[in-house]
Formats: sequence, structure tokens, C-alpha cells
Amino acid sequence: MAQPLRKPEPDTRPYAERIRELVEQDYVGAARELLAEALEKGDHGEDLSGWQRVLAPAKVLRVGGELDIDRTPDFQWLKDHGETYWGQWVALFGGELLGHGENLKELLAKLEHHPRGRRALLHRLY
Amino acid sequence: MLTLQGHAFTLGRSKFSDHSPIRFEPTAKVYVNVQFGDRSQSWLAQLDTGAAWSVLAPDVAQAVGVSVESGDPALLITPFGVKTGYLVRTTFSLVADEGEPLHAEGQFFISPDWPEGLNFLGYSGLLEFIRFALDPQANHFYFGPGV
Repeated sequence: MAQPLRKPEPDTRPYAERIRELVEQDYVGAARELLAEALEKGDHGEDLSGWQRVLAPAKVLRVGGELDIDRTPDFQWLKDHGETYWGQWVALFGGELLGHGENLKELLAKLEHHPRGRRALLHRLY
Repeated sequence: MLTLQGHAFTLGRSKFSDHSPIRFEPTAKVYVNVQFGDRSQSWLAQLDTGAAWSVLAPDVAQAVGVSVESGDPALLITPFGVKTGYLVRTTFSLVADEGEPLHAEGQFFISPDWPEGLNFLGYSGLLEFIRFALDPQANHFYFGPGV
């Protein structure tokens, strides 16, 4: 019968280091499992609160509130006129261009004075 | 909204865009309407079930008042190369034009050298915890809280 040449060595690195490695390689499920294992053991002397925060599930806070308009006209505007505003931010509402510019902060400042500015759809065109 | 075995499956619906507003991207993608922080304006974000993490563009993060340094440092491999940044927990809303909008908090990667204005809703820490469905014929994005 075939025998393994040698047993795999147990990973003795700190949990935080191993969790980071998994997170940065997009193995989020494995990172959560390792975090759960570490928290269950609880005697490793590491502060894992940062990883508990990072790996926490999304949380629904509430549902309901103001409805948006149907954005189909704004999507059509992007198809029809997007090329013209290449490299810029645009602010749209109901298929109308409310403003545009290269800097988002400046555009948001302009929208403060526009009656429909607070409900604009913002998008940067590439 | 959508029901499953007689119970609500999703609560809200919005139109999505399948036209890429990015010049170098030739294939159709799904772009949905999202609000971040307390801002009433909305932004387009690409729905990407293949992405491990959601991404908030650095200029959008700044505009909506997300404190990047409140997050945890991370280095991620992305389509734009290896990026250093922070994984930040922040609030966002899936905007509805029918039904009920959904307000939640989840993890976003924010990197100072990420392209301006490019937002993604990825799977881990966000999409995996809500219910969603697409109607590609009508360009409808349905969503609701997970169970």
C-alpha cells in the first residue's frame, strides 16, 4: 500500500497572519472558518477583532423609504451621449444632464444649487 | 415583488443598465443603482458575483464621507493589478423604483490608486447575504433581505 513520504507539517504561524493570507487570496470562506476555529480555541493570545469586523456578514439595517425614479432615460442618455463627456463625471435626472465636470467634489457642489441635484444619478465616463 | 412558495422573496426592484459605460469594456455587464453613506445622490455599481470583495471608488468614498482609515489594511489582487487599501465597513442602499429600498452595511475595499468612479458590488460580505434576482428581458434588478 502506498504511504505518504511525510506528514504535512501543521501551520504554526499566528492565526492573524494565516487569515490575512486567505483574505488577500480571496479565500473568504476559508478565512471565516479559520477565524471561527481561532475564536473557539480562544487561547492563542491574538487580537482578532479586526478580522471579526472584516469577515462579518453584511447586515440589513432597514427597508423602506423614498422611491427613486425609473432610471431608463438616464441609461439611454449614457448610451447616446456618453462619448461626448469622456473622462468626466455626469449628473443625470430623468434623461436630463444636470451638470458635468472632471472633479466629483466640484460637481457635487454645483448640484447643491440645482432643484433636482439631490436626486441625481452620478457616473464617471471612461 | 417576487414570492417564493407564498412568501416574499424580494421587496424592492430597480432598473439596471446592461450597457457598459466603460469604453474599453466590450461585453454587457449589470450596473445597478446604489447610494452610499448619507448622500441622497446615487451611483452606478457593477454587480459582480465573481468578485470576492465589493469596491468603492476612492473619490466616491471621499464624497460620501467614508473614513478610509477606519478600516483594516489589505492588499488585494484585482483586474487592475495588486492594490493596497483598506477593507471598510460602510452603509449603502439598494435604490428601488418599485417596492422598498434596502439599507444595509457591508465591507468595501477602498484603494487610493483604484480608478475614479468604478464601484463594484461583490459576493463576499455583501451579495451573499441578500437575496437578488435579475430579469434580463426587462432589465429589472430585484432585491431583498436574506434569511
